[in-house]
Amino acid sequence: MRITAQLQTRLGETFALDVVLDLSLDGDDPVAALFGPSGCGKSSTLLALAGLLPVDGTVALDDVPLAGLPPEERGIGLVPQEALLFPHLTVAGNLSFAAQRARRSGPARAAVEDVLGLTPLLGRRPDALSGGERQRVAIGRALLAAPRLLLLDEPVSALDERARWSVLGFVERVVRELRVPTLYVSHQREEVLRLASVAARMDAGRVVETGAPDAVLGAPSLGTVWNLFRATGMGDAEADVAGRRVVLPRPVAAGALVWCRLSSGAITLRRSAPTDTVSARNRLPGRVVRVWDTNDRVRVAVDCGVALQIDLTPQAARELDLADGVDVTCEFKAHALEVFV
Amino acid sequence: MARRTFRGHALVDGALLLPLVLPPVVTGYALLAVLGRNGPLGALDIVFTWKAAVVAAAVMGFPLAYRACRLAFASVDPRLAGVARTLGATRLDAFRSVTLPLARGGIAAGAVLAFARGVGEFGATMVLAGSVPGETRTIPIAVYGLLQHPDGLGAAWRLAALAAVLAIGALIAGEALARRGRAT
Repeated sequence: MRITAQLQTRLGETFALDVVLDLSLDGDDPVAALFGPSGCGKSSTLLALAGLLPVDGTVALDDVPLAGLPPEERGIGLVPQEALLFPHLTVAGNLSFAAQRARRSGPARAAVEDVLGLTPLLGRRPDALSGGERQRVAIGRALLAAPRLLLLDEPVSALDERARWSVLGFVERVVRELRVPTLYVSHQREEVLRLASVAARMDAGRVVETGAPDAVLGAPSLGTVWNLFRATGMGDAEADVAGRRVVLPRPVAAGALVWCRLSSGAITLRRSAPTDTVSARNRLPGRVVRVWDTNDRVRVAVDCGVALQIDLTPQAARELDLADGVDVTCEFKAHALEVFV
Repeated sequence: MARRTFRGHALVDGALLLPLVLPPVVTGYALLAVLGRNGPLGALDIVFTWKAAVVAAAVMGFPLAYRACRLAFASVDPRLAGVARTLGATRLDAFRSVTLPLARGGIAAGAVLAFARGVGEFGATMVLAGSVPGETRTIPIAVYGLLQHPDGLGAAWRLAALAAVLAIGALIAGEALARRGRAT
């Protein structure tokens, strides 16, 4: 699926949207991300793609032009930030609304209900659902309209941390099992890294960079970054990360798959293995794959089986004499890790 | 009227609400000028018939219903209709299956209010339809007539009680419908 768009409009007195978008999604991993700070025009871009915001320009999916078509003929589904379920219908009614109006065949209703865990919710009203449940229903509803492209507008940003990671897990299942091409909007780096295979970064109404998510998101002036990786519990507070033993801040059941989050500023780099005892419980040997300057620090990407990005002061980077291919050890305290189930 | 603004929006809005603020007799006189034998719609020949009483009650009740409907539609999140359209609904379908059901409570409450206003209508009805027994004599007009005779007081009290029951019933029904509209 290839998404191309050129969108221009003025929003209010001072904000101009001038977006040139060209994203190619591969069939096995069909999620692209639109990333950028709040207020940079991401949501307006989605509304324009869906045909709900009148703009000048062109929109095409796989080179089929859509500009000028009303929203119902575009085959572009939209899940807004606030879910916007129809309050006068039950969950089942919301799903049927979409299924009855689908203009082509799409994922089976049973499959959608199963993947998103909607079956126990079917008889409930939207006001009796939690925020995470509402988002899951909204995603299910959008899928049942059989869209060629699904737009997710910060679907988890209004949720608390636990619900956020849970809904992200459901989104991941949808993508993996139903393979619906998706454009995911977020200002959260870790969401983009987790879901997307290609990303476009927006700033002040324009797309400023498009490419692989870690390259796009690792660009200058983004501040501290979160490293995100999966770990398998080994019982107690230990886990396996790409074949290496890592100490977690809390016990995780043996065999359980968890997500770990680690700030780029919480990792120490060492050129040689430590000869004496250090307080950091985790030491992962790895190899430098990239070194680059950001505004006020040097960012180092290290392959330790998982990719880690580490922020150093320019002075520390000079003293370590870092370059691509250099062997290093990444050290971090167990408590620097955040663990999500 | 609830969603869009256009040139003259306030003027049209004001004109639709005019019967609410004009003295009823003046509204009745204006209707008479339009519907009377020499008026532009005189050919309809409805003045001093029950149809005139209906027109007078409808015109006087309309602003209340109109205002309730406008508020009801304005309180429905317009983005819901937008989402409905991304799900395959046409503009008309989205209005019919999303906006209208959500505004239903307010619309029904407005209809009840307009009905209550119509039941109590006096001035415009008197001017346009007169007081023809069995044809155009409404409850308020009948009460007014009975009050002109010393022996009519008993009947006037009974009619007044009936009017009060109708009015209170309408208010309760209107409130219940509005609450149901808010709950859904």
